[in-house]
Amino acid sequence: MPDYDPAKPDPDVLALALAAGLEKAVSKFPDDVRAAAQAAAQDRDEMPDIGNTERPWPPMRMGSGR
Amino acid sequence: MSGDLNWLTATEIGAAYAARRLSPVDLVRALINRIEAHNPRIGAFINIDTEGALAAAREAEREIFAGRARGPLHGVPFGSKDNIDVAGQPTTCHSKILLDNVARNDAKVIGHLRASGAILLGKQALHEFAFGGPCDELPFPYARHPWNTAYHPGGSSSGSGAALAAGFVPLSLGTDAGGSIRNPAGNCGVVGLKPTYGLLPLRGVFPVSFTLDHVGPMARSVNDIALMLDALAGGDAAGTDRDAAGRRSGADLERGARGLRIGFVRHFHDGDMIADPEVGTALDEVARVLERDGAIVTDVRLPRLQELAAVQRVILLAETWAVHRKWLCERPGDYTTPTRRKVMPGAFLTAGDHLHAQQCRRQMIDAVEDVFRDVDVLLTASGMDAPFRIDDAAGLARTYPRQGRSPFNLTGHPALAMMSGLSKSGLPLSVQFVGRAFDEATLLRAAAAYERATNWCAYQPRMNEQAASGASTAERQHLHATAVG
Repeated sequence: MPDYDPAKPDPDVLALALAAGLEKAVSKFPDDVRAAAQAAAQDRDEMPDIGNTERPWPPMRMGSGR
Repeated sequence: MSGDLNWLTATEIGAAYAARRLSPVDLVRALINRIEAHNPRIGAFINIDTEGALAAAREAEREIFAGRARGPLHGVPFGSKDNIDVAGQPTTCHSKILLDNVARNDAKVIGHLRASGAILLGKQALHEFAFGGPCDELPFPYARHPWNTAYHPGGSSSGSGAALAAGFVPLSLGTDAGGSIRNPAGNCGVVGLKPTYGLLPLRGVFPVSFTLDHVGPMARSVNDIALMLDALAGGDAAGTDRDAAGRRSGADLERGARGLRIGFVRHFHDGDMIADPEVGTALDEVARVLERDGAIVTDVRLPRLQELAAVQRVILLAETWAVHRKWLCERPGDYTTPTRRKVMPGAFLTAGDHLHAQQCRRQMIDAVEDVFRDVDVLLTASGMDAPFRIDDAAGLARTYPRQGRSPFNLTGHPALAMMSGLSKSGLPLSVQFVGRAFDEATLLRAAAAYERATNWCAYQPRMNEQAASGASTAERQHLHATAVG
């Protein structure tokens, strides 16, 4: 995720923020928008790759997955 | 009844009522007096319902003394985190957003506690929407650590933990989507249980994250946790996989640790993350204490902590965005800065990210279930650090993610945190025990065995003219040496 300069917003971050309806936040809290985008990117990157997707879903009830 | 009523456990209160050595009205009055004296410094309670509590106490007194006691919690006071509905009272979630949000009905768990005869004293402080943190933008004061008000009590059920450690109530009700019961329980030197996902009903509990949310008991003893859990479940446990034998949660509390197989998830704190050395030392001592009591302790491996935590966060953020989207778009300035920053990342995650996380979750649940083929209970770090100063925003940001609690919101297994020692600064360190799904009885058995062997629960802060500063450093160091020696 490239650095987000509030004075010159990253176009991808800005597009996502506006698509999400965050116009007011972009206007009033640009640093928070930047921090949020970076946090989301970091968490996405830290998730492991998925090998086996044969059983992709969590159980609907604890302990009943298999 | 003579003596200090503030530190009685629910179990002791029930016994005193049965022997007519104590009345519910006297107890409620004593606790409200204590809250009024100390809450301005501690900030554990947002709102006290004095009139309602005394009315309930008078009714409990009539019933109990007429021989119609409903059960072990009849006449026992409790407090509730202010993201749980109480009919006729605001559920503010400690946020400007919901200051006028008066609940029409009791949350299901509140109804269950009332049916058991427990008496609600009031609503307790939390991190805004169970997300933010202490800051001056909040509409009410934030909770502080009763042992030393310069320190953070943990969160997000911060008032619930602080109220127990301050002797305000014997029982608190908290919520936990990523550790929010267990963090303040451990920080405040009390006991907190996140039950198995699905065991307790969430109706009337303001959501953080639909598939990670839990509501659960907090108390000053493991036995009280068991009593409160059974009351909270009410009749709902009958519809779950819980304990096919129909046992009470506290059925095995007296059995000790002999023969229990404990899996020590050491890599959480000495490989994946590096805990503060005094936290690691205390965890090693927990293992030794349980071994001396007859448990068989072996090291086990789960998926890497950072991966478990990242998957939990992606699910948490995606789901919480669904809860807060409208307000974040329309009223972003009514959130505090910490909450706004923590809730908004969900806007930047995609459906694909959420599904990827759910796929990871499936595999991580399987990994934990595999380990439970060979052990009965897991022993892990709860927090990687001792409690930190409440004015240290950088400390909060650095240490808050350094924890081993959120993986078990992801997998749904029951998890309990309790005190494991004292830090150099004289504040509680904590340990986490994790059980099989719907096997709270065995989880509580392990915790009770450890509690009995160490008796950390007997340690209480002093809150007289010292303004809740706790016992002296020398006293704590002596206690620390005694307990671990």
